[in-house]
Amino acid sequence: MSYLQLINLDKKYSAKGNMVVKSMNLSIEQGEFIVFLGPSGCGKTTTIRMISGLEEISGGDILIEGESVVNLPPKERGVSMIFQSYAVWPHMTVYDNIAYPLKLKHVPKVEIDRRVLAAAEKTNIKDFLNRYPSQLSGGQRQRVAVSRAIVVEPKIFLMDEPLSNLDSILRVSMRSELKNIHETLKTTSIFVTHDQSEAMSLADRIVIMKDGLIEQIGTPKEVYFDCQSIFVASFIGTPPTNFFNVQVIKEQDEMVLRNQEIRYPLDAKEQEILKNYLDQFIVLGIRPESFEISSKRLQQTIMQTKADFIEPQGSHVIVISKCGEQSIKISSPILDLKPKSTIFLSVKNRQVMFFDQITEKRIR
Amino acid sequence: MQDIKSKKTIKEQLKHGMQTIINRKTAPFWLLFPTFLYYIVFWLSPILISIKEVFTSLDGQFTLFGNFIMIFQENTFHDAILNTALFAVVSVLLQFIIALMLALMLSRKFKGQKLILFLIMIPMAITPTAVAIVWKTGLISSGWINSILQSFHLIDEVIPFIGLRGIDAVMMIILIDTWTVMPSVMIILIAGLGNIPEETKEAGFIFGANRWQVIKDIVIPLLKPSIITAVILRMIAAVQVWAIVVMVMGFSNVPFLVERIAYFVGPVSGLPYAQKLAYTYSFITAIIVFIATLIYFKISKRGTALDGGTQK
Amino acid sequence: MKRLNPIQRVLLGLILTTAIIAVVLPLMFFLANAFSNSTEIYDYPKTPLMSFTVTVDVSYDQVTEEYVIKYVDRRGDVKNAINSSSMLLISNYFEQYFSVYRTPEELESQFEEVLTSGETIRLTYAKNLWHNFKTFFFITSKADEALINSIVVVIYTIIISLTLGSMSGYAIARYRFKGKDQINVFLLIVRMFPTVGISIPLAVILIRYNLFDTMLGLAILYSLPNIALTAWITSSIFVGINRELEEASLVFGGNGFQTFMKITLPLALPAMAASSMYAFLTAWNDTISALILTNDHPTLALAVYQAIGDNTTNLQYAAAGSIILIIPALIFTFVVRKYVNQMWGSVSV
Repeated sequence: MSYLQLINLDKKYSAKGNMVVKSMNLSIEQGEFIVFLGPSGCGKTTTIRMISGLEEISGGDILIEGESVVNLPPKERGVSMIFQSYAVWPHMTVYDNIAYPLKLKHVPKVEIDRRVLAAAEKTNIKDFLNRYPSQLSGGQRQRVAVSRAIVVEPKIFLMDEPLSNLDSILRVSMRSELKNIHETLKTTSIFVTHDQSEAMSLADRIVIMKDGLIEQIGTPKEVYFDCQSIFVASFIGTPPTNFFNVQVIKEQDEMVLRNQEIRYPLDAKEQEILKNYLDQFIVLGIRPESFEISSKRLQQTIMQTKADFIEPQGSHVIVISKCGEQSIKISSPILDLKPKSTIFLSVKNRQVMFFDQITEKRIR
Repeated sequence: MQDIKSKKTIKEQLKHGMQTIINRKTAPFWLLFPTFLYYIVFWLSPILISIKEVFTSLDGQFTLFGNFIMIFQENTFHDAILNTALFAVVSVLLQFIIALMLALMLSRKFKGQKLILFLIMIPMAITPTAVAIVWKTGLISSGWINSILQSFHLIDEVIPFIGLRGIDAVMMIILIDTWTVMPSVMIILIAGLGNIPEETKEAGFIFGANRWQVIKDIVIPLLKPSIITAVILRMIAAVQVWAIVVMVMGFSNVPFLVERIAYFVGPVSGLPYAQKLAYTYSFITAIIVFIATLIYFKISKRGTALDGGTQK
Repeated sequence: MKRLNPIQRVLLGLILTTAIIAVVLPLMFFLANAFSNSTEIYDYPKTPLMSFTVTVDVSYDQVTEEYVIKYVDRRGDVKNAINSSSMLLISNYFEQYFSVYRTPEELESQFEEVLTSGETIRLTYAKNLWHNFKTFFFITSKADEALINSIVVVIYTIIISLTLGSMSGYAIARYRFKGKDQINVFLLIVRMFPTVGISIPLAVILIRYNLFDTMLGLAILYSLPNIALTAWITSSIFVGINRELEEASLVFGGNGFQTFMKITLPLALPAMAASSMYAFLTAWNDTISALILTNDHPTLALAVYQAIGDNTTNLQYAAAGSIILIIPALIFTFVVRKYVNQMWGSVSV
């Protein structure tokens, strides 16, 4: 039995409004670290707020440990939340902030003390317990929010873009701290973000959302290498996937993908996948790091172009080229490459993805 | 040719001279100077005159307490101070409670919220003189208040509101004043409520508080600066109530501090000591308000430490 | 969390409804009063609804040879009004007591049938709604002058307050200089200071400068707290106006004054609007200072105050007069505030 289950979850804000979350179905196991990932407005924050009880649902059901919680107020659902703005209470000391939820539950004072100190220990804020939030930095306040969330020992952690307001260095360090806490406490967690690298580094499974719908659910590896739609392929990974409109045609005895600049012969497996698409146009997706650059035309070359711009990234370079009218990016180990020189591109290990032009879904 | 040349240089000299005097450094003082002058002539000198008057007896001699003794012996002084104090405390309390309740109710968005807000705010926009007339039409023996009470058989005989005296009268004035003034307290509280981020309250709900606990433990403490502002501003205004009293109850029937001032510069201004009494009453009122203002300063400075800072 | 259970919802509705009734009902009675004619004012019990018509029963007494006019009130009760054979008297009575304007000839032709038929006819006339206003101006000495005086003093106050206030506000916002904190404190004190404390001695000073009993003199008093208020409002807006906008203008050839007029001032318009709103309300609503500082040239608020006096009868004229007082105040408080809010977000003043 899954720990948290969303069944056909709907949300719209007014009778005639559009659906912000559409018929969402999701099953989460106990102890999983799930990340809701998507662009602004995709419904990820709304969904997490519905799970918390801060937002009413318009249809469907939410089950925690098999029981429906949609009629319960937030405090009876066993959830805990870290808000984007941290929502630390400015008029209480750090200690009181963390202790308040326990006070409300009438936990005895000695016990409160023990649990607050333990929670503060986990986030390294024991030294600040007597200070007020206004005397703390953003990062410190965030830790107070984390402590407060863990002190109640909830069934589910909900985190609404908790790292978005931190500077990049702090962000990365807090990421690993959160991961550590999850490893120690093993609480089921749902983390909302729009930053795909954050999602990739934290998640057990990622739920990619767009316009209120789930585009794909999968492990970081799955959503990276096995994208189910153009959206996922373009959202995950940086620099983003390059997409080409090509036609599936038969040249002599070969099936190839063809457009003005590209000629990609298909192997047996690929031919099988595309067997229904003969003479049609499809979308070919190639990640920047799947390209291989050479200065001469080789047998496996699929495209010729110029290295218009070369951006060193330290350990590798990003080459920006043109394929016809569109701009493409290639990620490559450091080469002796002159700007504007002609280059020949081939694909490593058949690392390509095919997408249906109309449904934008992956062709398998 | 020579003349034109020298004229030019004079103009340039003047301009240069002006620029030395009016430049970045001195500009603020030039800007503030007219205001400064204005206040010296029209604010400071009246205050000095007033102070001089208060400490000069009727026959021109200096006297430290003479006028104060006279005012203590004036037979309405005692009532004036008591009534004003009672009024200030009770009216502010009543207005604050009602305003807080309504502010909490009206701070969430719902259908008709704007309309209801507008309606409740109307009394505060009405000139006090007009407010007095609105209520006078109701309070006279044949007025609509008695009319309603009798129509619903709540009373057998008309209540002579205008004839009330003492504490009853003060209570009545408090009710009228509340009608007029509560909206302006409510606005300050609504603005303060608006400054509390939604997530701060939501955190309360997530972590176990019910609605009442969120209000008690989170909203009201965060509302403290607004509450203090509203209460002190209202007290300062309450101490200066007079028009309603005079227009509804007539002079001298229910004495208040500023009502006494109006009395001594109005109907009885011809009497020799009337002006002195008016000055002394003004002085006392001004001192009370001044002290209240200082208290407001102190408290509002202290309050900002607990501001908590923004979360972003 | 946002859900309100049914009990709470009912309670909320109850309290809000009470609040609304508490506000609206007195106003309705007041309006009914303001438009009442001299007969209705004695009606008891009172109703909150204005009446727009007057109904009379007309008959003719053959014996005394007089028309018998009786007034029919809302409940249908008939009360004696006037018996007379003179159409002129009846017409005057109609005007004075019913607020109904009909010439004697008109009335005569309308009453014709009762002369012969011996029946009583019931006629309904439209009330002239302006009657009370006209009477107010008539019986209140100098009421029309007072109206003009109020407008004049408001204009003076706005001009003085905005000019001196915005100059000060600008200086405080844009420059750093010694004594700035003290000046801020001073302005705050002046804002809160009870003007009633200064009004009496100010009279002395105004007399010295020949400004006593003038609108300029009054405006000088009203401006005292408003200059400080304007300085406070405008300084916070000026701080908000990016310095670089002004510097750009200076670089491109404008001098300080041009910059101020063409760039800073227009951007500060909401602050000016808000300040003038407060200046207006101070000058328009005040009675006590007007009482002290004027003799023969009252403002409208003062005139209405004096019209009431100790009266408990015939309040309808003072009520009508106060409607004139109320309308501009209402407009300024709501309309201008809405405009200011639109341009400026929530006014924290």
